[in-house]
Amino acid sequence: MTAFTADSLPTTARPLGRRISTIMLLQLTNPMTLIGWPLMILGFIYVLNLAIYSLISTATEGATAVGVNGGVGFIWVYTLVMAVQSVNQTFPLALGFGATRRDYLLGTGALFTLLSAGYAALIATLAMAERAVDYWGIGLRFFDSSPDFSWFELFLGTFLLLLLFASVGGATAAVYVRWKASGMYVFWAGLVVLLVAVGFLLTWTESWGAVGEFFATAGVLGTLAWSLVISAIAASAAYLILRKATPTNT
Amino acid sequence: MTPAPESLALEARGLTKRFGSLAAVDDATFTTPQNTITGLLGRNGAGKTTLMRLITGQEFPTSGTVRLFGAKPVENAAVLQHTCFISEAQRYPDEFRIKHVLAGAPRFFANWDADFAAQLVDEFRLTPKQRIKKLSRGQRSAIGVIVGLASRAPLTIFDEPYLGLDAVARQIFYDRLLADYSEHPRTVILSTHLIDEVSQLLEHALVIDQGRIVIDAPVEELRSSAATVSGTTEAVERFITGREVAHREQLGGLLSATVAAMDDADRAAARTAGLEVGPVSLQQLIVRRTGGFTTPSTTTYEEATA
Repeated sequence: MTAFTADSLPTTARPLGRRISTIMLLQLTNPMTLIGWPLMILGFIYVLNLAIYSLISTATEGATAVGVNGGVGFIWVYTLVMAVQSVNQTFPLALGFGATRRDYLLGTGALFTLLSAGYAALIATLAMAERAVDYWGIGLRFFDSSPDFSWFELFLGTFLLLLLFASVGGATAAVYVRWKASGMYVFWAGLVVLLVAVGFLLTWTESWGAVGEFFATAGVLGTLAWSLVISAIAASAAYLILRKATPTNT
Repeated sequence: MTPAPESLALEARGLTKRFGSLAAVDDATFTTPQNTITGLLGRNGAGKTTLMRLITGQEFPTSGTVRLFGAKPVENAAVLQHTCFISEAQRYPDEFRIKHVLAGAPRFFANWDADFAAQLVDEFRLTPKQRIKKLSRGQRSAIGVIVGLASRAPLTIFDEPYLGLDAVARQIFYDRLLADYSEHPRTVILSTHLIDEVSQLLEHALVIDQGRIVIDAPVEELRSSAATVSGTTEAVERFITGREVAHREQLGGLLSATVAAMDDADRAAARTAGLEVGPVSLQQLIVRRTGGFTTPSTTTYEEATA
């Protein structure tokens, strides 16, 4: 039978695309984790909101609620949770299966970029559907957070937001995977100190007005475009941290 | 990458890993030929797991080098694709069932045998639908064994694979490993402290103690290097005078002594003196070498095999 000698062992790695898809598919092996559960929970929240809004609409004899509902924000936060769990739970396993850290990180980055794009497309499409049925006539603006936006603007905004949550989640998980609990203490303490320092600095230099002006000028999409900077920093941090991580399975 | 000389699977030179002041692996130099089953033996905390993690690039050496199929393993996809290292405490994603492990693993291993994996799941009395989180310690060990065997990875590492496994399951593991290994030769490293149980499987023993490699020898050679001589106390005492005795057991007027260095002439001499010469268990030998000496007349390994 096949005997492995130094001569017969393939000495080149499988193509990068194949290695990346292997990592992506490992995390999708149970599709419930990253696709099934979030969609079901989102659907559940939606149905719940539909019931409540119908109730209000009936009770108030047709007066509709105004403003955005915010329930869709679940998927933003859940994307962070998914990134944290996925990195924390599949990184040690992938390394045991002979993957390199680099391939793991590229695969996970590609996976969450695709997931973010998929969820963003879904939400933008459902927002269009909401408009088409005039929010069921009861003012349930669940997916359509910005009625002025086109499909593409909604897609882009949601995509950028999901990327932000995914990369921050990935970076947080990377700190945990590499330094465990002590890393978490330093990380959160550092984050608090940083935020307080920024707040202090803005107050000291009386720059809050400028900050407000920045957001007003940039607009929703402009602000979200700027979030790409934070996403890029977080994703690079996750990459650099995990490049030297030694998974311990504990 | 050029083929490694003499088809070595592994080559470590001065391999050292320190955690603070603790040298978990201390100046380890050894080679492992391809297509052998090596036992990585040692006490708890001796450095077995750290050594295996260094071999598979999961840990970064403090100094020294390790080469896997001729190349450094750290972040090297070309050689790591040939490895499978299921840690004794391997964690799986929370929502994974056994079938998910069996579906996710094959893409990593070029030689994965799905039928073999399914057969092993049956033999360990598992079902693909079981959730890994709900499995017992032994059942989770069985998953590692199944993946390790079915992966047929050119370098397969089992880190204390028997933890929590019952006697029957352990026997299944040993039987399947041996049978599959003879059909599909590959390099297997097995870390364990159930030495006698696996000694029939092992071709080579690598014994690590306090981070240092204390024995690196073929099991046959180790076994034949020492022997137990037994007979009347007087006759045995006369024979062992001036020899390195690793262990002695007195039972009434009979004495049984484990003599560290016994070549053919020594054995013949013992028989001529009316003594019985018997084999020494690998476990006994290694216990003596890793801190379990019961008599002051000990010997270093180098002397014993010189």
